Order: sequence, then structure tokens, then C-alpha cells
Amino acid sequence: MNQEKKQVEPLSVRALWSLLALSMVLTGLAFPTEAKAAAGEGMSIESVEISTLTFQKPVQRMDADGKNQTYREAIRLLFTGEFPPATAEPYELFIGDYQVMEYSGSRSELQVILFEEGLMDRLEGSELRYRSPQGESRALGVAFHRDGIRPVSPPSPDN
Amino acid sequence: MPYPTSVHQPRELEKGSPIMYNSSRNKKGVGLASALVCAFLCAFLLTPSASAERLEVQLTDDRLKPVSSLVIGESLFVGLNGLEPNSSYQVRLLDESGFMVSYYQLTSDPSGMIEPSALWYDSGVVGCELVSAVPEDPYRYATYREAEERLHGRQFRLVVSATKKGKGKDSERDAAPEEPIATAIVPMTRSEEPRVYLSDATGCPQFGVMTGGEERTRDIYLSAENLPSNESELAIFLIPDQRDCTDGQVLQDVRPEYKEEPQVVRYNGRPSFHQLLWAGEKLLPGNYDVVVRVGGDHRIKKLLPQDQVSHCNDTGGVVQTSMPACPTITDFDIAGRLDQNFGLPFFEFVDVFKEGEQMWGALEPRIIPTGHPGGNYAAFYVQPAGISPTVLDVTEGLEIVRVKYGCPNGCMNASITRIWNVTEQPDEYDVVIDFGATPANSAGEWVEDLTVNADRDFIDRETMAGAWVVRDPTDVGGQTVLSLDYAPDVSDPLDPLWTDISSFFIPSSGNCPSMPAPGTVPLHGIVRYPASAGPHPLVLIVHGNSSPSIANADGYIYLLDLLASHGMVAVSVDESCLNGFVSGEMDARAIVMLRHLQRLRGFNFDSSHPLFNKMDFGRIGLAGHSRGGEAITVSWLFNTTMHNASDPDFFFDFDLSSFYAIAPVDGQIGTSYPGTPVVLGGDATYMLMHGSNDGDVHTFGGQRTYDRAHGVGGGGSAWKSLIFVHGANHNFWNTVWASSDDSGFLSSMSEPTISPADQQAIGSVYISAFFREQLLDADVYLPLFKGDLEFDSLPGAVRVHQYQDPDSIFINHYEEDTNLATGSLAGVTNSESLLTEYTQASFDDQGAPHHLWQDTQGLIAAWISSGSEYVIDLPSSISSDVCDYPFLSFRVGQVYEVFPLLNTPGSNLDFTVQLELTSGPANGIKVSNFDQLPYPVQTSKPGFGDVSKTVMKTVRIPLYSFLVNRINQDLQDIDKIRIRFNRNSSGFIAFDDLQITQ
Repeated sequence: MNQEKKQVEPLSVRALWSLLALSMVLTGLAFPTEAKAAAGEGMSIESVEISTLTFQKPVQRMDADGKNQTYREAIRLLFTGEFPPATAEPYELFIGDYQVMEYSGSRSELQVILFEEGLMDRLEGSELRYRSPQGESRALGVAFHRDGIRPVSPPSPDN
Repeated sequence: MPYPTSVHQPRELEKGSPIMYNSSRNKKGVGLASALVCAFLCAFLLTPSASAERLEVQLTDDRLKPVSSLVIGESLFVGLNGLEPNSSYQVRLLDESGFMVSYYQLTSDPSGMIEPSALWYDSGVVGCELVSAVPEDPYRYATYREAEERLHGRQFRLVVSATKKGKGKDSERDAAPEEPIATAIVPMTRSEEPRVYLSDATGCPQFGVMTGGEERTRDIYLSAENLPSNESELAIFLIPDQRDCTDGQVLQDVRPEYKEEPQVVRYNGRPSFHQLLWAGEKLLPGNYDVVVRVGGDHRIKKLLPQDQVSHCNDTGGVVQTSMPACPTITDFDIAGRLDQNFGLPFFEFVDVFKEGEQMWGALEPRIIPTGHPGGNYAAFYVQPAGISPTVLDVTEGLEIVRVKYGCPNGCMNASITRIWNVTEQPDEYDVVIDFGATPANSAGEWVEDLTVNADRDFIDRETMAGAWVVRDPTDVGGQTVLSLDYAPDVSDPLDPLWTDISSFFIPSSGNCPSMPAPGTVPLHGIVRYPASAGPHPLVLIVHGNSSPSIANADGYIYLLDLLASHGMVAVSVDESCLNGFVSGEMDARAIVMLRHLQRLRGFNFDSSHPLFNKMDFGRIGLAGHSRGGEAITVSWLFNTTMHNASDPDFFFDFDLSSFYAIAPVDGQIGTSYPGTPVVLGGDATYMLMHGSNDGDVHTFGGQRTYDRAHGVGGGGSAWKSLIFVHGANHNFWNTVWASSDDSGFLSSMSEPTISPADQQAIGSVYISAFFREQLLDADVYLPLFKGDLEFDSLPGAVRVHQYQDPDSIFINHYEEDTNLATGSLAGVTNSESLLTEYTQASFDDQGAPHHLWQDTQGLIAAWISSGSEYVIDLPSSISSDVCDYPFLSFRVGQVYEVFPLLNTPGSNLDFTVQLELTSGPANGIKVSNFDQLPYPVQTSKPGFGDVSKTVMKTVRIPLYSFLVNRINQDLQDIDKIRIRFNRNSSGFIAFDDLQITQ
């Protein structure tokens, strides 16, 4: 359908509207400022249960070098806490500098499976962090230990 | 019953109203719409009958202005209102003795109207050469003077009669009309107004001139009569043929020497005038009108109310050559649609009509061969395809129309006729233009012969059906639909409907409590399938990420039912075990799809299974929503890269070539696999659907998948298309997800979110049409994806569409380098004039400055002067291809501006595309005659700020548009494409993929 073309405002009038928009942005009126936890919902972690997964058939996974490795066992970390709802774009999850590429969870628990040997040592004492699809980066204020989750004291500043 | 003795005088309207008629020189042109308005104001009562009380007969001149008499020399147009809908009527012009001077036969539309249609051209004036062609016709005149001498003071009679309704056999269609339902007297009066017309050296009117070849090239003269004595000068504008005369329309003389200043001639107050207008050796092929301004300001190059115009709705003159145009064109169109904007090209030839749509027909003059025996009357037939040479009309009535004298090739705007009011019975049809048993040169001679004669009749597309009428894709098909679910027995870990994906992803037991082992997930499918014997095409639809504990797969049952009713086995794949607060599972989603295909293949071979022999694994389509939308493309990749005929778990190699992505993500495939991100190959048809108010996948990831698909320059056999729906969100495509409006994740949006019902209606239309086109060979739905077809079930939400045909020649796609001066096609050079921005950019800024979320290079252009241009010089090598690619196409969109400066919020943008040939300019076509370029939707999202998107639209302009009313101007002489930004005082666009295409 052909829509009637609206009358074009003179350039000067549009410039005035643009200045008004600019002032609104500068005063923070136009757009919301920081992400609220609800909009890019955050998370909290209370505890972790560590167990060993044994596979009836060998499981293949790519290692950090992109090579296919075969595993008969893996370490399963089951975190409890509060986690965001399911969305199309994923959260990025970090334990220290290790990005957890694969995780599966619900609103109350989160499963991370570690295949590579030596990861537990690498992750010991590392703080858990995430980056939301909204780009918000937060440290969770807790660190991973073999014997459980402990608060980081004092909490690290947010990235 | 006595006939009334005079035509009712039209009511005088107030000066300044849109419709004016008076005896002064104030000739203000009116458009068809205004004429129709006048039809209601110019009512008069004629012979009483059951319908006559509301019957209105409108006489108009060539400018579609109402008239109470026929000014000798003018053309007579007659429109009717208050008729029985969808009924056939004859309008005859009789002299005092009852001799039929002229007639037409047309069918009223559903509102009971026949548009003002040509009954008698130029009061019978045909010029000196043609007057003797039919000596037995007493109403053909060499000159206007002769016509005045023979007609002045006479009173002809207009008779309106219904004709018998009939479809098909001549025994049902009686050419003799029934008793008149209305008559009127048409007085003939001598012209008091100035008259201008094209003439020869002797002053005889001439409507057609041959040039080139062995034909003698004749000069064209301008003759004028009844000129005012109180003026001494007049200005002459020879302009391209216009559909109507609208005050203010630009007068651009086609003669190069008068391009800047008009031709001004002194006539010193003489009443008549005869002047060389155009020397024969300089003639440019085309159709023309001539405008004369007596006195006044000659520098104003716009039509003024006091200007005299040779013809408006009709054509002033035709210059044609004996050289053929595009010699490879043998399959021409007749069926089409009227251009709603009444601008060039006036008429759009199309092949596919939705059920219930009006079908129009027109004759493109270039296809009429030299030596055509002619005839001044022709009939339009719409008949079942393939029955030619038999003729068998299936419409409400037969249309018999006048062919203009001396405009031997018909003249496009004079031949446009409504030929089927309400297309019904979806099927294939041919359209025939039949000149009768013998060419009829005078009224009454036309005799129906019900045969397509090869030497004079025309049929729309000889080698295939000329027109298709198609049903709405959401109409339920005729198949009885059965249903079943398949899923593993949770108590049997060895059930083959469990599948081990542990090498790709291990869901948490909380999300997938039934897993018999870590990473072993169920294969659960919801199936709708035809009860009839197969094999039927197979379609799988998969949801994306959401809660694992809701019935995600149920949300597409409305699509399954529709697809199955049309003969497809449709499966909604349940991947809820892969859902939740998850990451890294994309590869697993793809593998699960392939595992479903494996199980379904097993069902197909299992004689005990209800789906035994039901599925055709040579016709498979995949659809996916959100993460599922990317998963289907990963399935395409893994289908070959992971296929292993020795491993039952990886025995894939399915025939996957049709993919429909609903608001997909892009880039979640594991980076370890070769071929990531996924670039769909040239044989994979890809369709994408996404909403402006998608608060979840606000990144419009599918646009990048689309851009990458098929590679640069194509090369495969598959097309790709997308629609970006203003107001659609992420969830409403799924009836279960629709309980949550994800546009709530957006903090602002300029377009309100459309309802779930509307969104699902859009999804139903496109998904049904897509898979029927892909898997059931229903090519008739392809125009939907090209933007050429609409259906009533589509709500009014703006849909920005893109389409890329596999058979195209790219002129500029901007991928080869960063040098704007050279094009993508060898030999193309580009330049610009007065653009304030002219840069090649990567369309991936995802924010300022251009807000493009794509994976392509393109042109960014901006202007603040309506004289700005982008000019593409073409190499001569393209001339050998241009006749085989009937469309000029490009992608273009308004750039979103955070602070609107150049584009106007809420307004469509427009500009002109003009072809230039080596022989001179061809027509300039407004983009708005074919498509609208809407203003971007503004959206913002917490954490991201302004996430508004510049989204381009594919504009397709038929190349013949540039030659309408320019008879035999040869496309093969194409030299330049000139994009003129002359319709908005400023603008800011993204532009890409300029091409000629199918």
C-alpha cells in the first residue's frame, strides 16, 4: 500500500528536535542507564556439589587445542543458587580466567562438567564471574574450592 | 420508452475544488480518482428500469473531465456507475440513423462500476494517411477541420445495454446486446478552445511515425488552432507520454536542444499555427504528448492550468523504429495489475494473482510485429491454460475494446483493461487478445471467432500458462490429517528413541530427569501427517531455548496442521532437554535434528509403523525458532561434514535444501568445527523471519546468516529471502511461548507489538507458502517472497522483505574491494554528484553511525540536495544479458539516525531510478511505484541502549518499465543507471546488491 508522504519539516525544525533529544540523552532521561539485575538478570551461588561422572561409552570432546580427546570420566560440578531464566543469547560464565563453554541448568541449579585433567587445580580458589547478554559483567563474590564455595574476602570489584 | 433528449448538465463546482470544468482556457487536468468522484456528482436519470434509478453515466474527455457534449476532435470516454456488479455491458455510439459509430463492451466491477473507458478516439480524426484505409467507414476524418464540418451540430446517441452473461461456448455468449437500460444524446460542438496536435508537413494530424531502417524519416510538425489573438508568443514542450494531466507535473522536453529552455515561437496573434517540431533525422523512438503555453511565463517547466495539452489519458504521438527490441523476448505478458500510483509504468505485468484479486490486461506495444493486419477492435479472454487455439472465456464477461487509430502498437496506457473482476478457482490460465474473425476496422465488424489466430491474435506466454490464481496459503488443504507422537519408553534404556549426544552436550538431570545415562536424551516428536498414501514431503520444526519444563514443541502444532493438510508430514521436534539456563548446546541441537531424521527414515521402512512409506526423503524441509533457527543451519553443515556411512549414529547425508529460520541466533555453533560460522551453500534455500520488537534476539542474527548464505555473487540454484516484521517480537511465533511478551525486555520501541494472532497469521502465510513452493513445486508462491504478492490473511504490519534470486548478474555488490569508482561487474564505473556522504562501509556497526547488523559491504549515501545523483556507467558487454534478466534490483533502506536530520521519522523515502541508453534517456521510475521504504523502527534495550536497526528492502523494477511508451527503444543500448535523489529534499540510505535479475 502506498502511504502518503508526510510533509518534510524544515531542516531547522528538525535540528531543534535533535538538540532536545541530545539534551535528554546527556541528562539520562532518554535511555535507561545501567542494566538492572532484572533486565539482565544476575545470579548468586550458594553451594557446589562435586562428583565424578562415569560414562558407559567413551565420550569425545575437543580440548583447548582443538583436538578430539576421549574421556571415560569427567568431573561434575553442581552449583546451587539463583540463576537467570532461559534466553536465546547465552551468558558467559567464568571461573577465574577459565571460560565455561558448556553448562546446563535451571533457575536453581547449574551443572558444569570438566573433562580436561588438571582443571580442578587450575580452578581452585578462582572467583566466579559472568557476563550477561546485555554486556553486564559481574563477579559473584564467591570462589570455587574443592571443599565448597567460599566468599571472596573482600569481594572483587565488578569488571 | 421515450429517450431523454439531452444529457443532464453536470453540476457546476466551485472554483478551486479538485474538479473544474469551464469554457475558459483553464484546462486543469484531473486524475482517474477525481473523475470517479465526479461520477457520483454528475448523476442523471435515464431510461427507467429496475436499476436505472441509480444508474449513472459519465461522459468525459481525454482529461477525464466531465463533459455535456463532445467537442469535435476530442476523444470520448464513458464511465458507468450503479450497474449490476460483475456484469457485461455494451456501450454504443450511434448516429441519427442508428449507424454504429463506435462501441465497447466491458464488465462492471464488484461495486457496479465501469471506469471511464475510451469509446471514440479523437472524434474519428485519424490523419490523412489512414482516412482512406477503410473507405466504407463514414466516420474517419483526415483533419480536425473536416471532422468539424461533418459533425458540428449533430446529435449522436449513446446506448447502454446489458449483454448476456456467458462463459465459453458461443451459444451462451450472444454478441447482440439486450434491450437498452440507458440512453443519452451526445451533442457535437465545435471547439472554441485552442487545439494542438502533432501533424505532418501539410498540417494533417499524424499519430505515428516510422523512423530508421528503410522507412522514410518524416519530420514532425506541430499544428495549433483557435489561438487567442491577444497573444503573440507561445512555448512548446514535447514531453514523454503522460497517463493524465496533473497541474504541476514536470515538463521536460525530450529534444536535447530544448532541454534547458523551451521552444518559443512567435505567432503574432494569428488563429492557427504550423511549425516544425522535430526534424526527422533527430527523432527519438517513443510515445509523446505536446504541451503549448500561450503567453505566460515560459520559464516555468511545470504544467499550468492554462496550458494546452495534445492528449492526456490518450497518447499524442508515437515514434517507432523498425528495429526490434530485445530480440530474445518471445514470451510476453498480458495479465497484470494497474499501477495504483497511476505513474510510470502505469501497469505492472505479473503472473500470479491471489484468489479474489482483480486481473487486468494490457498490450506492451513492442511485441506487436511489423505487418500486423491491425483491426480497431479486440477482445480479452481469460481461459484455462493450454487449450489454445480454442478460446473459452471463464470470467464474468467479455471485454471488447477500441484500439486507437494511428497508434499502431496500441500505446500502453490506452490498452489497459480490467479483464477479471474477482479471480476465482485457483488454477492456471491463459490470457488471449483476439482481433476476431477478421480485423474489424469499423464498429459492428468485430465478430467473435473463438480461435487464436497466429497471424493477429496474442496469447500471454505461449510456452507456459500466462496467469495463475492462487489460494491463500493459510487456507486449509484438502488432506485428512492424522496425528501421532513418538518418544522413548522411559523404562527401557535400550529404546532406539534414546540417543547419545554426550560427545556434544550433557544436559543437567534437573533439565532432563528421564535420561538413562548422562548425555542420553529422548527423541520426542509430535507428528501431523496426511491420511493419504505417501510418499509425502517431510518438514521438521524445532523450537529454541526456553524453560525445559514447558511444552515447547506444542507451540508449532498450528503450523503442523496446516502443512499436513496440504500433503506434508510435519514434525515438531522436542529438544526441551537441551533447554534451560544453558550454553554450548548448539551442536547438540543440530545432532538431535539429524537423529530425528534417522529415526523417521527407520519408520519409513517399518511396515508396522503408521508412517511406513509416508515420507519422501528426497523432499525435506527444516524450520527452527531462536536457537533452533541456527540449529537447522548447523544440521545442514553436520549432515555432510559429520556423515559417516560406517557409524549408524552418524549415517546422515540427507537431502537437505530448504531452511526456514524464525528469529534465529547466529554464531553459537561450536568454534571447533570447520565451516563456522555457517555459510549455507548455493543449493540451500534460506528464508528468515524476524521482528523489530524482538527483545530476546535483538541482534537480528539471522540477517548475518542471510548475508553469508550462498557466498558473494551466488552461483547456486537456490534463492534466499527474509521478512523483517515491524512490531513482531520473539515469542509470539510459538503459541506456548506467546504467554510471555519478550518485547518487554525492550525499554522503548516506536512500533507497538502486534498481537500473537497477527504474528502467527504472518508465520502461517510465509511458512506454508515456503514449504509448498519448496517441497510441493508450488512455484506460484514465489512472488510472495519477491514482494509481488499479498494475501488477505496478512495483517497490516509493515514487512520489510529482501529477496535474492540465484540467477542474477551483480553490477555492484561492493564485496570485491573498497574502491567505489569501480563496480563488481567488469567495466562498471560509479560516480556521484552532490552527495554529502558517499562511502563504502562494512554493514556491521550494530549501532552508530549506521545501525546495520549485517555481514556485508555496501554503500552509504546521503544528500541534502534534490539534484544529487549516483550514476552507474555500464559496459557494453551487459547488452547481451539485459534481455534475459527482466528486473533491475537492489537493496536499500533508510539509515536510522539517533538524532533525525536527513530522514523524516515516520515517513517513507523515495527516489527515482532512470535508465539511460546510448540513444538517450529512457523513463525515470519512482521507487514508490513498486515498493515503500519505511522509516526504521526505534528500539532500545537496557544494557545496550539504542538497538534500532537499519534494515534494507529489496526493490525490483521491471526493466520494461523504463521503456513504456517508448516504442522500440532498445534495452540492449543500456548505458547508464542514474539514481536520482529527487523526491526528498534530504535522505540517508544504505544501498547494496545492484543487479539485473529474474
